[in-house]
Amino acid sequence: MPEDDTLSEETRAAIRRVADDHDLDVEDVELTDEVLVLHPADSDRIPETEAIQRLADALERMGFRYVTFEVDTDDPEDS
Amino acid sequence: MSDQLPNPLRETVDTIVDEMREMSGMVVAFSGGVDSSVVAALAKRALGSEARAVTAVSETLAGRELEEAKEVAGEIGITHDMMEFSELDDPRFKENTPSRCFFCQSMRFDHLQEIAETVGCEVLASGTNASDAGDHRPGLQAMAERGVYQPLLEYDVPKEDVRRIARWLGLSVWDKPAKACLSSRIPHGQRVTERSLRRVEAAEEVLHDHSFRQFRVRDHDGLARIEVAPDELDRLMRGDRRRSVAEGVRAAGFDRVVVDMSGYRSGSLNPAS
Repeated sequence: MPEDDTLSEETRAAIRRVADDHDLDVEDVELTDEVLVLHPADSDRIPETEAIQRLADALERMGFRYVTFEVDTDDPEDS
Repeated sequence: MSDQLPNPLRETVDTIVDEMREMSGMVVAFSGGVDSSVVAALAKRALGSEARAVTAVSETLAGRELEEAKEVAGEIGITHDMMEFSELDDPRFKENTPSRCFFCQSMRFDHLQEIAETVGCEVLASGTNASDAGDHRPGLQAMAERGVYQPLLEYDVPKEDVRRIARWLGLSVWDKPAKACLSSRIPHGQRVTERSLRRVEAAEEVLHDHSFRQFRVRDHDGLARIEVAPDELDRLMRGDRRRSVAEGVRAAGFDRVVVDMSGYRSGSLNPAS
């Protein structure tokens, strides 16, 4: 687990690569209070559960305790 | 009762009931979950009107849980009392260290002990089972120190067998998902407050209203981390439902909403091993 709530550019890039390997396009990542938050580029294109869990396992092996998605509340038709 | 209970589980149940019959009366700490419901039903069978269930009503008990406890006590036909107390009266509980459950259960069982003495019951019982023993449960120490009778633990009955017994007894809660107290949604080190407990309760009502079955809303200082069972993750993440749940959870008082990609894990906020 990283020591604080900051992620280096290298770590961010590594997380994006791992996500990409699991068919998830990640726009941004952040770490807050042990919670790694992935911001999907398109919330309507989330992989199936098995792929999501493989991705979570991979990121947990990198030392992140809680691997999560940010959930938007904006209706895409309004944006 | 439905189906047959296979041996040696049936023998274990008979042994527990026989043991209970040697007691003059019993107060069962009753949450309305499957474990305490089984103990209450066996106590009722062994002791009749000398068995009673008592539910501790406090800030960490969701209102829905209290209503369900009343219903299942009615099913069992056991006398059911409520005991009000406040964990938030104890600053050690509010500090939310890894020992939080010890302080909570100490208060809870001290109050229950007083009730047991008032009604002349010699035994105070809980539904702790064998599967609880391996987890991080400092509350078990509080019960052990007070000599609480824990038949499902003493006779090494694991959770899956508790559910079998409950089904055999015809209890509607036989497959009810486990529901720990609301403070278990708050990471250690983050203070437990009335506000955080109420927003967790309200957020979990949103998931209940969307027919999710196994879930938790963990409160990371205003960030809601939703855990649902892995087989319910797809349903949560799809389009309108995802947005509707997120809006509801925000309306409950959270600043941000995230979904845990690993899904529901019992005790996910316990100290890392």
